[in-house]
Amino acid sequence: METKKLTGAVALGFLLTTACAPMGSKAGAESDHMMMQSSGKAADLRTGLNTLFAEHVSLAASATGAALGGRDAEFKAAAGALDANSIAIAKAIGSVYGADAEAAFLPLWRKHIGFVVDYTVGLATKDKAKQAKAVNDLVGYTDDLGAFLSSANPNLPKATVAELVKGHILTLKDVIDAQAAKDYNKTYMLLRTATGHMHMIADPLADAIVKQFPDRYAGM
Amino acid sequence: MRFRKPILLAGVILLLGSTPRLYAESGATINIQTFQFQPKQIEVQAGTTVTWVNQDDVRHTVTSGAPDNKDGRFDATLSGKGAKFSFTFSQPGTYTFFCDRHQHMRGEITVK
Repeated sequence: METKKLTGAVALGFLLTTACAPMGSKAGAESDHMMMQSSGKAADLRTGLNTLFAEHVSLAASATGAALGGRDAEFKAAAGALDANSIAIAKAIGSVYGADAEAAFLPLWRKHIGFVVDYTVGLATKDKAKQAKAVNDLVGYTDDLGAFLSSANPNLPKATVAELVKGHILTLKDVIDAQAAKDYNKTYMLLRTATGHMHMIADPLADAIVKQFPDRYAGM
Repeated sequence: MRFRKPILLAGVILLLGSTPRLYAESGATINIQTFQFQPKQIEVQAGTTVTWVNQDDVRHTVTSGAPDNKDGRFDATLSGKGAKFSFTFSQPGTYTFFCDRHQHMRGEITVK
């Protein structure tokens, strides 16, 4: 059983760190379109980002839950959908800041998913050192994402972004801990908290983009 | 006939704007911004000093070679915004570099 969990978690890591073609494109089509079909309205931007970030948490929790439960087929499907979501988030960034920014953002975003995988593997194998390193890497990562967004948009202070992303990391970690403990009531209550937290990233990001490009996103 | 000059000028601008860029021997600058080397590719004359300037508020490195094959020519840490590193390329050839902390960040310098 433990071996199966580990295999699942390792395979999750492989799937997420392998540069793959967009997967689950049909399943993710709606949220992808939400950004791509944005008519330039601020409200569309905000809704699109909120949808993508909420989907990120939901799919990440599905993948980690399946990996910890040893449900290989389920977690492969969840991991594929999670990567399609990552690509859609990068495209959303690219739709604002261009193809080069999109190309730079995607590996950076995938990096934190890799650290979440490391943490999940650490839990599955009861490897405390691996868990601690993954948490440390994740906290360090918040600085990188803060710097990226702050560099792209001067309306986003690095420290503020880093703190909000740290909130995402910690609320998701709580979910994974509850999944590992098989406390399902707690898992789903915490999943609501983790999903809800993503508004605190999506909303300021949307506001900052609108402030940076008021002509492009007229009509709040 | 009247339009020939502007068209010619536009052609020159387009040529100059395309990458890779060729810089004078005195120096060239590569900015590191939003986790990208900008420009990613340049062409310089032998003897040119290239300066990398970190515009991101985060630590990057300028490391020669590729992540799986560091060649040891240079490996500089640019600890934050405004940090710089310069290297003079005296021999013709193609030189690749990357950021060791964010290995998707890569660039290439062709020395003529």
